[in-house]
Amino acid sequence: MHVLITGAAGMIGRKLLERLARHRALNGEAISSLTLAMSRRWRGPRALRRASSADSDLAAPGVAEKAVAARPKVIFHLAGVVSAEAELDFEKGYRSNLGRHPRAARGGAACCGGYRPRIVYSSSMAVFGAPFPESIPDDFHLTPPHVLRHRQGDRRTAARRLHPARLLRRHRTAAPGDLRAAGDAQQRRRRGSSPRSSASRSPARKRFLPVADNGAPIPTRARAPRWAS
Amino acid sequence: MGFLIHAAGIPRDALGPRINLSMPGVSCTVGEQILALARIAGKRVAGRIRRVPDPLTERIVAGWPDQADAQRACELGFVPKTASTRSSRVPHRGRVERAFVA
Repeated sequence: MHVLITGAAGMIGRKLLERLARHRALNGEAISSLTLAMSRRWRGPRALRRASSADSDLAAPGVAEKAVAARPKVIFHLAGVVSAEAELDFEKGYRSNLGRHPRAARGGAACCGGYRPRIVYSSSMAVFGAPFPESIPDDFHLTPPHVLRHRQGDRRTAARRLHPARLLRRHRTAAPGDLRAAGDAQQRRRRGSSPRSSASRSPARKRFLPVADNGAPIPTRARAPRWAS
Repeated sequence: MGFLIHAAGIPRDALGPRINLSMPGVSCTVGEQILALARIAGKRVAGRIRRVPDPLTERIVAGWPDQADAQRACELGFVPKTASTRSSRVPHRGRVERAFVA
């Protein structure tokens, strides 16, 4: 099974990637290859060190198409910009949370007519609109007051039109500033001891790995992760 | 993470025309969160919390519902972690204090 994860270096993506790297299977089916799309450099979990890469913007022309060129069977679409960041920067929130998704979906649709990957992506509970009852039912109205959540609502519509998809709404538990600070600190640490990162700077590892130049997925050949022992 | 993986294995037909699902989760007050932090990381860590109103944050949080029924998700097999399994993953108190308290 070939699996694509967008936003693989993000809050949710990192945890999902570590889980998949540990089990090397998804719902009982072995993962033969894994494609990662992320907007910042992250070396990834140790078990997949050879497969990790960064520096891809799904909103850029051709990037999403390249990500799905190898026809991943399952796509975890987790890329996005969270609450305060999207509120403060309208253009960035619009481009990231709405622009990326149709491009990614079109990439899948354009790959070939019969290609229907399984898409799973996440949102937050803020897609609903106040005032709220004590507990909202599954069919509560979607009238969010925020910039970000409008984008997510639009995004859901796009996914529904194009693909059999699933959307999981989750409670967010961390502020975006915390995440950015953590990511920046990690990057600074990495730059401070960066000689080992020569592999990730090579042209072949620039964007989506492990995918060969002809677009074919490369088996990850994941080693047993140290934390599993 | 279990929810994402479980979602990837659900047959398309089981979802019907509505593909969006609210997940079961934890609902608590900020006061309960602070008490939990004090219990896990110690009062010195929890004591750093200050009440500082922020208009942007207030506006964002006002768009969050307190709870969701998540009935459809539960019917489709999305089972939340119980309190016992969550607490078993919490690191030892002394380790947390060493990590966060200067």
